[in-house]
Amino acid sequence: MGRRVKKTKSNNSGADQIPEDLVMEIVGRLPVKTVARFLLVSKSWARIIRSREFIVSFPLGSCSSQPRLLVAYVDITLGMQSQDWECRFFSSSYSSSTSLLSRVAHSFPIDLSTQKYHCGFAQVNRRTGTYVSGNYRRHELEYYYSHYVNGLISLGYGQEQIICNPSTGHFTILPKVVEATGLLAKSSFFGYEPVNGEYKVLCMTKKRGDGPYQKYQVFTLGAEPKSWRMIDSSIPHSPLSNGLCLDGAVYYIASTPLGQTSLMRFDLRSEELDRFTSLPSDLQAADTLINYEGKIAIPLRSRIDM
Amino acid sequence: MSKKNIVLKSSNGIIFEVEEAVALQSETIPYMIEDDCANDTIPLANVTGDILALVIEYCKKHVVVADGDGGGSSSSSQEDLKNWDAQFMNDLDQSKIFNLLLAADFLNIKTLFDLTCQFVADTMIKGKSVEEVRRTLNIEKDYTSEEEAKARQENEWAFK
Repeated sequence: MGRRVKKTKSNNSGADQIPEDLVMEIVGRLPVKTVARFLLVSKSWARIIRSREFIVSFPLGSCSSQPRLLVAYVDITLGMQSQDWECRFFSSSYSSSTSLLSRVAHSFPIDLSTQKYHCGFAQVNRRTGTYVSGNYRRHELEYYYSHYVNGLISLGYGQEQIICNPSTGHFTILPKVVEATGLLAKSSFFGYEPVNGEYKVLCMTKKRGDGPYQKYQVFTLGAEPKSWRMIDSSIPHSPLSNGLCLDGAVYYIASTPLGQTSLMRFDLRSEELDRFTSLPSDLQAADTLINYEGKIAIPLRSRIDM
Repeated sequence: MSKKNIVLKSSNGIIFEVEEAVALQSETIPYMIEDDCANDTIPLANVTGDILALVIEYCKKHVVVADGDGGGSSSSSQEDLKNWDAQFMNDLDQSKIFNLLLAADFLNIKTLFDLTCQFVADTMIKGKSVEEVRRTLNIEKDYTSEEEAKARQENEWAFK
């Protein structure tokens, strides 16, 4: 066993190959901007940096205890033929200044039905996965929350849905959902299923102006064929909040039939969509779910009279 | 508290006797103690004597400070320890650093592992060109020129 070490000693110009898991640990301790550059070192480094384990741990590193904010800033330039969509991701923490993580840009052809600005903004505590603060502009036709799940973030723009890896700037544009023609209203959620290691998007659609969402479909990232699958939901509903991914399920608040407000649960593994529990009527104004120390929590604003 | 000693044996047969508190900074060693008889020598087949000596030097330094904690001097001793760590790493050549990293990983000494990983990241990778990193870490370039140009273009923002 000692022979390998001896060999290294006699060969001072070089070094032993570092095992892959240690490369991941080391690269994970680099400043965020440097990482994408080292995709070029070798194919195995590129594979490591793009690997699921790395996506999940970076830029924290598996050992770091420092929380960071991930800030996504979306910019859209409307041209005659296309709309240039650009998203810049920044990482920020108490001890280091805010730094650019990556830039994602894509040019969408003009579609008259979606020629509108759409801005998204998300801040996520990367360590706990807590959705710290969200801000979205409600679009006439569809609106999205940005969901940050296990190293990937989902963003929406018009009819488009985009999943990005903020660490490397890689992204994928989801295919259009299965739907008949006509103007659509759309709402979607993003989750990670840890058992099979799959990222899934739940998207619901309806005809614009209709009541609750009628069609529910699921997309698995990286699966073949690249297509949406319809799923059944026995309870037509309309989401009222962001989605919260917790232990292989996505939870969100929705208005359900008979004027009720419910906490919905989408099991990412079985792809079952059900009412998890009914919420008391005084939670009707709730529009946000957060992960509070591993539990689902609904923060409420209350007016305090001085 | 009675002080118990633990005997460690390197891959090339060198014996080290250390206080239990020193050895137990490794999260691997307790399992080896449980597996074997506690009084026996613990063989470390992956770690050579010179590297094990470094590991023990590190652990001794860190166990002393952990004991002396408390009171107002803790922040200054933290500072001292940091300086000591920096000096400790700076004195090592690259081959020792890599073997120390492997040993810290095998012995599961978290602070030493963090220290060596961070040191490698900061001194051998950060601020270096892709070519320098390949050279330092002995990594073969397996991209063709076309692939490299394409990847560079895709990640252009990262090179600015």
